[in-house]
Formats: sequence, C-alpha cells, structure tokens
Amino acid sequence: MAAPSIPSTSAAPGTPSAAAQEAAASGVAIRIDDLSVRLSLQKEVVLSLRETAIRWIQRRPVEVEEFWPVRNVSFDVQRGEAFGIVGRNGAGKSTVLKVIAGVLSPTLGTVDVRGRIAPLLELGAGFDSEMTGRENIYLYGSLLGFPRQKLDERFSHIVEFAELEHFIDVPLKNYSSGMASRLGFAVATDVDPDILIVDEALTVGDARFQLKCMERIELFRQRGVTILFVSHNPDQVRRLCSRALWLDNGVVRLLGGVDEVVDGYTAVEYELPRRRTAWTKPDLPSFVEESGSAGKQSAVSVAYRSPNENRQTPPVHGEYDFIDFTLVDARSMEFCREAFGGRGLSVSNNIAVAERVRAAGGDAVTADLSVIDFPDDSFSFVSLMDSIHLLPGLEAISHVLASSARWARDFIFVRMPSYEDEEYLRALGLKHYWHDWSWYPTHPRVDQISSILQSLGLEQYHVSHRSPALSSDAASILPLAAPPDQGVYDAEIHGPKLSIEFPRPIYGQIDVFIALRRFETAQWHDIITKGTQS
Amino acid sequence: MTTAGQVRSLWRYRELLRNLVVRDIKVRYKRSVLGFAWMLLNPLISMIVFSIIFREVFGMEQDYPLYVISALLFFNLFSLGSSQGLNSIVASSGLIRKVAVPKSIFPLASVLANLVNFGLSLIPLAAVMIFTGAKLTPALLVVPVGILSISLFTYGISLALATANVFYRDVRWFYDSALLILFYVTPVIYPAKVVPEQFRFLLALNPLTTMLEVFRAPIYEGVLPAPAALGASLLYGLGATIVGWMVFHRYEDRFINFI
Repeated sequence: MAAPSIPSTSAAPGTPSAAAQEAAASGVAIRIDDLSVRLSLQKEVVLSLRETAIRWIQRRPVEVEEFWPVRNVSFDVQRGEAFGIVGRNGAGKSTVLKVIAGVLSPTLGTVDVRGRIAPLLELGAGFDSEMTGRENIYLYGSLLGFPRQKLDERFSHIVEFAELEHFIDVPLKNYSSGMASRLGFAVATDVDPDILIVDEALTVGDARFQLKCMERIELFRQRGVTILFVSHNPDQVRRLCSRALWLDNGVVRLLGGVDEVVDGYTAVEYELPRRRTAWTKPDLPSFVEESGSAGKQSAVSVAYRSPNENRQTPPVHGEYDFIDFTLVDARSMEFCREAFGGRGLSVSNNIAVAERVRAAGGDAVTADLSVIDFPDDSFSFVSLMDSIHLLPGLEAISHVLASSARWARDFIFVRMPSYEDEEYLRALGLKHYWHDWSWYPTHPRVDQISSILQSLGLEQYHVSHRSPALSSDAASILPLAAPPDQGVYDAEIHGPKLSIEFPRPIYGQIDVFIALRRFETAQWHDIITKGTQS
Repeated sequence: MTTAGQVRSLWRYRELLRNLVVRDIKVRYKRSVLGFAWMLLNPLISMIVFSIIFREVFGMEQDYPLYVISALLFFNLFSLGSSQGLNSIVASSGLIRKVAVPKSIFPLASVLANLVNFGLSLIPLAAVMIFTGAKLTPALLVVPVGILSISLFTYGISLALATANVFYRDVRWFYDSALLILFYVTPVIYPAKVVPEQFRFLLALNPLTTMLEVFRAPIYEGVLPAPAALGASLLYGLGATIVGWMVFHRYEDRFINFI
C-alpha cells in the first residue's frame, strides 16, 4: 500500500474554509476549484497477509496502478441553478459527483458544498432486501440524514408517489427493480434538499415513472433548488439546465451555456461512431437467395463493460437470430420472438429493461447504442421498436440504422409513433399525446427516414402507416394546450377538445421494414404481415 | 476532520445508527419461529451444558450455573460484537461507496445491536440469580460500569479489526481462532484459582479477566469489585476506544479503494 498524502481539503458539507465563506457570500452552492482525484488501483485488490509477507521478504513491492479519473476540474454552481454535466462513460462524471457527495476525497484541489445534498446516486443503494418497504423508507431516509419526525410526516406522501400503497409491508426482496428504484427516488426527493444530484440513475423504471421523476425535478428547479444533472440524453440536459460542463477523459472540455456545450458534445460524440461504422456493405446481390438464411445463427460474445461501474453487465455469449434495441420497454423482445421467431439478444442502455428481459429468461446486455459493435452479418434481423425517436437527432438515427444494416443479413424492423401530421394537428389546436414528451427529442418523419435510407444505399423498404384516427375523438389526440408529458386523453386532466372529422386518416404509428437482401415477393410480404399483426 | 468533528457527525447520524441497530436485530431473528426467545434460550442452554460437565464431572460448587452464565453473557457480548464489528465495514461496502456517512457508525451499530441482545439476556441471568439464591446486594449497582467497560473495549477492538480487515481479509479467519484462545485464557468456565500460581499473571495480563471480574463480582459473590480493578477496567475500555478510533480514522479515507 503506497500511502497517498492527501492535502487538507474540505469535501464535507459544513466544513468551514475561506473559500466556503466566500462562496456563501456570493450565492455559490457548489465550488470546485482545481479538483484532481487519484485512485490507486492495486493489481490484486485485496492481498492476504501471507502474500504481503512473502512480497516483503522478496523486496517485491505491490504493483499499484495510478489512475486519475479527474484532473484540474474547476467550476461553480450558483444557488438555484440547474447545472448539467455531459460526457461519455468514463469521462469522470461519476467521480466528480462522488466527490461532491462526500464519498470520495479530493486528492488535490478543493470542493465546497453549501447545503443539504440529496444524492440520487444509484437509487436504493441503502436498501435491505430482508426488510419491508416501510422499514426501508426509514432506513434509507436516515442514511440521507433526514430526521425521523420528518419521515413520519411525509410517509404517506412518499408511498403514494412511489405507487407502492399495496406493497409497503412486503419485504423488499419481493419487489421488482423498478419498484425499488421508485421507492428510492420517492424518499430521496421527498424531503426538501438544497442541492439535488441526479445521476443517470434516473434511467431506471418505466417510461411513465421516468416522466414523473422529470416532472418532480422540474418542480424542484422552479422552487429554486440547486440541481446537478448528469445524463446520457443531451436533450434532457438542454431542457432542464441553463449551464453545462462537458467532461472528456477527466478534464474540462467545455464549460458554458447549455446550448453551446451540448451542441459541442453531440457534434463530436455522434460524429465519432459514424466514422467508425462507415457504410461498407456491398451492393445488394442481384440474385434471389431462395433459402434465405433461416436457421443460420452466428455466435456472438458480448462482454460489454462500461467504465462506469454502475452499468456493468454480465458478459453474454450465445447464438442469436436477432437483436432487439430498445430504450424503454422490454415487451418488444417478446413481440419479435412471436412475430418473426428465433432467439434474440436485447440491447438497451436502460438497466431495468435488461433486468426484465433476463428475468423472463432472455439474454440482455446493457450498452449504449453508439458504443456497442458486432461483426458484420451477425444476425438475421435487427429490431428497433420504440427506440430511434428517442435518439438525440437524425445524425444518431442514421448511425444506428447504418450499424444495424451492417450487423443484420435480412432486414431491419423499425416501429415508432408517427410524427407525420404534427404540423397539421397543431394548426387545428390538437396534438398526439407524445408530441410534447420530453423524452422524445427527435420527431423523425417518413421523408427524413427515407433520405437517411437513401444515403445509406438502402432503397428497398416498406412503410406501414398504422392506427388511423378518423376524427379528433381518438383517445391519442389531445388539445394542444394540454400540459406536456401526459398520457391518452382524459377530459378531467386535459380539458375539452374540439371534435373534428379529419378529411383523411391521421396515423398514430409507423412500421418500417428495410430489406438488406433480395427477397421473393411472397417472402417479403410474409415478413410485413408478421410484423404488422399486433 | 478533527476528533470533535468526527464525533459530531456520528451524532448527526444517530437516527441512522438506531435504524442499523434495529435492522441488525430484526434480520438476525427473522424467519425463526421462536424469534427473540433465542436470545434468552441460547445462554441458558450453554449454561446447562457447562453446568452438567463441570459440576457432575469436575465437582464444581453448587452455584456454578450462575458463575458460568454471567461470564458467558459477558464473553458473548465481546466476541459477537467484535466479530460482527470486524466485518461491518466490508459488509457495508455497497453503502460506503455510494453515500457519505461516517463510517465508524457501522462497527458501532454492530456493538450496540449486541448490547441490546445482551440487555435482554439479563432476564435469564436474573432468573438464574433468584433460582440459585444469590445474594442481591447494593454492589449490583456497579454492574453497569462493567458493561460500559466491555462495550467500549469491544467498540475499540472492532474499529481496529474492521480497519485491518479492509486491507487483509484473512483478519477475520485469524480472529475466529484468536477468540477461541481468548475464551480459554479468560476465566469464563473455570475459576481463576484453578490456574497454577506461576501462570496466574497470564490471566491478569488479559484485560478481559479484569473486566469480567468487575462485572461478575457483584452478581456472583455480591461484593464490590476492587477499586483498582474498577479503574483498570474503565481504562481498558476507554484506551481501546481511543486507539481503535485513531487507527480507524487514520485509514478510513483509503477504504474505498479496497472494498
């Protein structure tokens, strides 16, 4: 063990220092000054006494690998400000958050934090699976430093927000991961914090609960709580934050207004993978492959381990007929299996989705669409259900389609809500309920997807427009004035809406089938029929 | 952070401490039919076994059951408290890596959970006292001093061992054997006077002997412990806590790299 000498720092809230006093006077909630963090990673993490003794006798010191996840980072967060941090996995975001939360000490530099922190790092880390939800609320609350009396007062409110009224006296081991994280979020955000730290932890839970969380975070922002927000989704950062920091490889790449920083980040991040997966698939073969490739599987090994320890997933090894990229829902896997058959591998950056797929006996890997890669022609098809419109722009969609076309031999299946008539509906004072959803940053229209496919040389595709609405009475259509992030029409929530007969059907969903080889007409027709039956 | 600051932050998290202690106790007896009754039954069963062996085979005095049960409870408080305290940091690694709480709270919770257990097991102890017709004297008022000493001592040892265990996981296995030896070099099941004169200084070197006598004298003999023993026993407790505290806080910043 090399003894790192740690200069005097004040990471703990409440520790007075000159900088802290200055910070308090100037309305700064968090001040990071020239922060560097060193981690000493021993090659063998825990040594036995015997081995230490042998090494000592042999004069062979323990090999220590030094690693600086964060170097010379400085920034201030003003009281009441929503501040975003963007960067790839392993850029040092989590390390900075851990130092601010007081879990890690700065190696060099100072960190001053003024006020009570509610850390949302890894929701539910303090839960005990043997104890009930009720007992865990008190355990977790006290871990965050909330007084018992306050928890008593807020108890029913917490349970209600977490939607666990019927399960509150059930031991936590019987909860799903989504239920546990709902409970964690509800406790951590119920008692007013001064500073809220939101890590990517928020990508757990189902889409509806995620929206609820975002709404609550938005409320905090309006109430003047200082928010430190770390997300993979640049659009979320843009919506919530006013300023942002871009961390790259442990150093500050850019610090400034949110648009400037996020633009810079997305430009680089989404260009990078595109270069890597330059379109290389040769022209479609001019002969008819009658047998198709049914029954032909490729062995795939995925040992995707992100540098972010929160997201490591067990390696997956197997032979798969398809991959299912999904961002919000685990049901797409089952749909593909039933519609097209074969064995699938689920890929999602949503831990909860991966867990659900695994719980159902399937294979899943937690990975980012822009990072993961497979050999060419590994699968029969790639399914992109309810995922591409969640990507942060047309660039990213193009990248994912290009990669998918490389990995699959037969076809790509895309399903998403329709944005075709967004403008038309708006002109009538109406909208589809997903048009304002903050989790759906990109509203790709068919013509945009067509031009992407054209640019990739994929000219054989079929688009099905589905779920027609013939009048504004359809449940999926809301009045334009309805608040954002809402579900299907409910007169009580959304108020009255005009009843209009549409001169032509307004579609709610599109399915796109993209051919990656030649098909016999009947074969192609069969795929479309299977994919559109629901 | 200064020592005062460390103590203050421990105080700030007293609610967490309470919950950790409750959790320790609840989880331990969950799913057992008799539940908390085991806290009362276990020492009684040990007492009966030792009494049969020592009274029938070795011809000890008739009040041997009281002699042995008081010492067994005392020794269990120490051995269970310190071995759970030893493991507490490694066992809470998930928490320590994610939330900033004073880490010394975890060994403290282990010791306190066992202290609560111990408190409940004073019920069977009282029953045995009445059953064996022990003299109830004002000397019993000194018993809490013995309990305080051993609790402080256990906490101090836990802090030091928990620190060592973070860096070398074999400390735990080593300590299991050490406890077994300690059990036999402390006059728990035998009276000190059976030890040959020339070895008796070994017993005196063992802090547990002194603390045990302070605890047992009022219960078993109905007399006040020697003032020197009383003082020494408190000093052992305080000394261990101070040393353990210093060791723990000297190394706690490095725990995160090893757990």
